[in-house]
Amino acid sequence: MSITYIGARVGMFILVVWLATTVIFFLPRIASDRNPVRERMIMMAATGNLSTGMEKVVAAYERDYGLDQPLYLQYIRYLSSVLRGDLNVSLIRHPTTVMDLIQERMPWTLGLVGFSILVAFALGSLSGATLAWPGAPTWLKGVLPIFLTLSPIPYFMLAFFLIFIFAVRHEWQPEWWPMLPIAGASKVGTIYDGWDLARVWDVVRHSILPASSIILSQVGFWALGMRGMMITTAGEDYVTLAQMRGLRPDRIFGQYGMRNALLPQLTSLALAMSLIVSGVILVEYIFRYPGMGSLLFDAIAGFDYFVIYGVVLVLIIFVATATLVLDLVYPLIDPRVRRAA
Amino acid sequence: MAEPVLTIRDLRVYFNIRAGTVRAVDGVDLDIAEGEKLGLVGESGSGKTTTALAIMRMIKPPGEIAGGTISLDGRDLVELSEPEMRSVRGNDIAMVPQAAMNALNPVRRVRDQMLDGLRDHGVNESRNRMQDRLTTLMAQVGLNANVLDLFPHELSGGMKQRVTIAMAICHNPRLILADEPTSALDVVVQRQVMETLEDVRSEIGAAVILVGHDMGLMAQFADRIGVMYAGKLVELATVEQIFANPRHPYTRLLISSLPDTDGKKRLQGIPGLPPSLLAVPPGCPFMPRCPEAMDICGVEAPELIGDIDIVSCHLHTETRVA
Repeated sequence: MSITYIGARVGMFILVVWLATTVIFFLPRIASDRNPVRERMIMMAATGNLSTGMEKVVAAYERDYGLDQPLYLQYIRYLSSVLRGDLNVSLIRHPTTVMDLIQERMPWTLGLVGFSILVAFALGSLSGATLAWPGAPTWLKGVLPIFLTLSPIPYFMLAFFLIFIFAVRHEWQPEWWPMLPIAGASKVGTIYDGWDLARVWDVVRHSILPASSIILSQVGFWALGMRGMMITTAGEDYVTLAQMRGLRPDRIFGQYGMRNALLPQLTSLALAMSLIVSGVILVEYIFRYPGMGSLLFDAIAGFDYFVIYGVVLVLIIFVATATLVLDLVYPLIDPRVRRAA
Repeated sequence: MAEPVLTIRDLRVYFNIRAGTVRAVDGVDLDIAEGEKLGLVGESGSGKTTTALAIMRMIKPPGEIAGGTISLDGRDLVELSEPEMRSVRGNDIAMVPQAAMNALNPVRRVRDQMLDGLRDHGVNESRNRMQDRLTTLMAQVGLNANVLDLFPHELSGGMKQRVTIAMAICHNPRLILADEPTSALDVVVQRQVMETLEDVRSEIGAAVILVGHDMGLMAQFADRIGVMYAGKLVELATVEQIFANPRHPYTRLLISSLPDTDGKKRLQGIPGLPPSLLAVPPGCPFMPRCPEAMDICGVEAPELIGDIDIVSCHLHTETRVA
């Protein structure tokens, strides 16, 4: 792999992050002239927490954060602070910094969504590959249509369905039917000291429904893609020759079949990481999961644009990184790309 | 004649498709002697490749071996279970494939793919011994040992075909099936590859069935040539016999369709098309295209007659003494 190749990929990474940051800076500000600080003050005044000098406070805020300056100056000011690693302060939850908010929320999203996407990918790819291969077990052939039916259903609809089945008591449910938590990432009011088994179990229980809604809606997608790729691969001359050389069937399936069929799937996986941006906001919102999605949702609702910027910036960096990693790793998993690299 | 390595009797391979049954191979008898080189020629769809695949038991649905026996050293391959057959493939019978361009796994190094073949047939020796084996195999097919460390896309077409030959000989098979091994190569490389194949063949003393339609190539390589038409063997004789005195009209036409080196003769084709294998007409399948067809040809299918020199044609009713 040449330095030029790596340089070009990293350059592309920086360009993408910068462009996306710029778009996301101007878009909400041009689209709306809401003033979150004033809104906050009005609310405080309405509840009697602020009686006089509201305009003064608003003006002080705006001066402090440079909000009274022209937009392009704010943009330069924002960019330079981002470069210094400062994502400013939440306008609504003053004085909590955006960085603190993100650090608090990020692990939950990574855990829930990252895990769900990877599980869906693994399950879907493996079952899709098996289905395309001669001698696939019959039960698997029966299961795939179910997942295919589920895949066009939006995951948040699936979430409601799961809540209806597993979080609401019905007469038809037998005694042992599990009732799963539907809100939060752990039990409300419990304060844990470090990570013990009880806490892990609590977190896992809380993640079952949101994770299932993502996994169930995604498995069919991965399985279908993999099945198609695997059927093509099974017809390749190198698979036929491997059979005629009397290689072990599991080796042909794994190292000659799946190993090749998986390559395009990995590209899709890197792109699917963008689901963390777009897809899961509603799942987190429905299940009140304390992740980036619900943070972004609340920020948009309150027009807390520094938080919007911060969250989106992190997500952009995340997706760009996934793509960068794929670009850098791909030559290692597909030797044919190495020469071009 | 020496004890045959492979004996095929009444081999029938049928493909059951919606439109009916395609009789791709319909009653083929063949004997291949130890170390013999047999050429199998015929136009597309004549059943030559299907015969080779049937020997490997690689006929895939909707195709099936509908009848007959394929005995390798007295063992009927048709009766073997799939795991038993797997140990025959690559071990007793090896394949040199047609499309070497794509016959190697693009993401595995040549070394690993060669090792797969050794390990999966129970060869498990020390690293050094395995390495020595691979180096020897590479040398046998005229390749440098550093090819082992390359990926398939880094090899030329001829090199890839040599690798497949090295793979084929790694277990000293009794029989090598070569299905148009040079059809994707240019003529210079073709010759080199065929020479390599002949060298390693004589080294390990394997018999070879060379499938193809290149009569010129066959003339140079084979001891005997079998001519197939519409799923049947129509003539089987030594190379000299076939070229000097072809007996079946189809064989005659095949040979006269070869280009003339003087370049004076106009190229001649064989008019017409082979019959649909879904419904082969009664009588001789070649009759509609045969310049010498007689009344009986449309009524009664000719039988294969002869012992060493075999033909199936109503023009020949007597066994020729070889």
